[in-house]
Amino acid sequence: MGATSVIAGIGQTAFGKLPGRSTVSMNIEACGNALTDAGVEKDAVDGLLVKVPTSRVEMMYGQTLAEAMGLEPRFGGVFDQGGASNISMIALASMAIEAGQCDVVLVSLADNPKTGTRQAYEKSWGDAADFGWSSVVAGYALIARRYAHEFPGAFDLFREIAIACRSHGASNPKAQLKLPLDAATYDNAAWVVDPLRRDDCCLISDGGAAVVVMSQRRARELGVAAPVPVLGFGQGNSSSDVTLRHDLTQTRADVSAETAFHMAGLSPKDMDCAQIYDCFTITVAMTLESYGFGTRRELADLARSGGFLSDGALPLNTSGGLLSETGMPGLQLVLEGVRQMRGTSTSQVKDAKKCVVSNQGGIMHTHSTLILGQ
Amino acid sequence: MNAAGPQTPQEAHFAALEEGRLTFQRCSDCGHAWLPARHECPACWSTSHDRQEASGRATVVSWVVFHVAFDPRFKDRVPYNVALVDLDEGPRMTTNIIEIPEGEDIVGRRVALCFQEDMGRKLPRFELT
Repeated sequence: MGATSVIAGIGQTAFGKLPGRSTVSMNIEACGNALTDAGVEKDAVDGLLVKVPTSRVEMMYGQTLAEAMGLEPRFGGVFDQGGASNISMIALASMAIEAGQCDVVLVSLADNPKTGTRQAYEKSWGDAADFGWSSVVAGYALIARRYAHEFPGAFDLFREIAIACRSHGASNPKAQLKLPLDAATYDNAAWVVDPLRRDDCCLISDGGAAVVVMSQRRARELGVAAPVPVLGFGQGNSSSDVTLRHDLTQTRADVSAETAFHMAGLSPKDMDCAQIYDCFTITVAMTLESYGFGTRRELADLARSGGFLSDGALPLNTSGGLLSETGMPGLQLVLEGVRQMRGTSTSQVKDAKKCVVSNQGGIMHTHSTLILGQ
Repeated sequence: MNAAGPQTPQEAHFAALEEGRLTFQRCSDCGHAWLPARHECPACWSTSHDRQEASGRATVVSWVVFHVAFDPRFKDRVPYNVALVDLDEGPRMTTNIIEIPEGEDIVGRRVALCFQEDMGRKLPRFELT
């Protein structure tokens, strides 16, 4: 069971507003930091996978980045699955390494919607534009309304998710937003698109992150200090536009998690912490349910008892997540999973040995799952 | 009609709206009905289909209220709602509900088609029944 690959190194840039930095420049900084963390030279890299930036879409971006890094990778390219791309690229890297296609792969993400354009998040949608149908947040609001209709405790759960993520962000010196959240502030914040308020929504951020993937054997040969094994991964795609999705409160996250847990030979109860894609609070609520961490009612009870805090039963987004650390779409959650397995998180879970990480993209169009261990 | 070639399914849909008719496509092979307009049946990929007129009766699936105008054309209209409705014939569409009473959850409520002149065209909106 499980993969034979490891995450050998992690790296990132500062998070927040980074004027004057191109996505290429931020990718290079994150990759450089990841290689330093792994203790591996650039010359060892023969694979480069990168997520397409949302702020400026361009053809052959993977080759532009490789050229700027002075690399001629055997294996590489761009993945365009929104926020689910990161874990899908780690999975692809692991499979490519196992198939003998490459040896040491950099997986990287950088974006600059804060200083660049937010068009990807705010644009109007096709034929429905004349009804005022626009933005990513409105799509999630549509899902949240339906969810709240089905489950009256929805907003209590959303509030606790936001409070837990913001609490962990406040303990993370590198987080973009280090301001803890209380219930009254959440309840009184302005609507963005009702039923989602300001604190239900992730940050908008510039920044980059990267990981180095290689086989366990190669990590031993290269003397990598703190490799973290990849135990399982999976994907699931709902694909349809949110306005056409048969059931608004079900996605293929369940298939993604089932694939990953089966590969790892583990189940949700084996997880010591969870880094769950929190572009909006509703996403966390639905993902935890799809993954098998409990019913909506059980999750709401767990949340109310402080279960999502770092000393709780299911520590959630221990670096602050997209709601607090950085709104960057997803690779930062993998970095935090690695830190938890190494014991170096700023909200370290005691004796953490297994961690699940979720990534998703679009308006719940795509989903990917990663299980890390020791 | 498009002078450059035959009318596309989308053009046919919009031409019908201008005549005050809300239409959808139904597959001649498998019977599936859908919106938005397209060439292939999303269930069986057949390119053989009829354009049928909706009864105008529908049920609300979900709805939101915009408090921010991401589209500058709506900056003087906030707060405004956008809703998803399921037509009785099956297809789902995005629309506006003409008036939603304050504090009411309208998920599951029955609605009826009501064309309104707006945005330089005839917009198929719905009102609660």
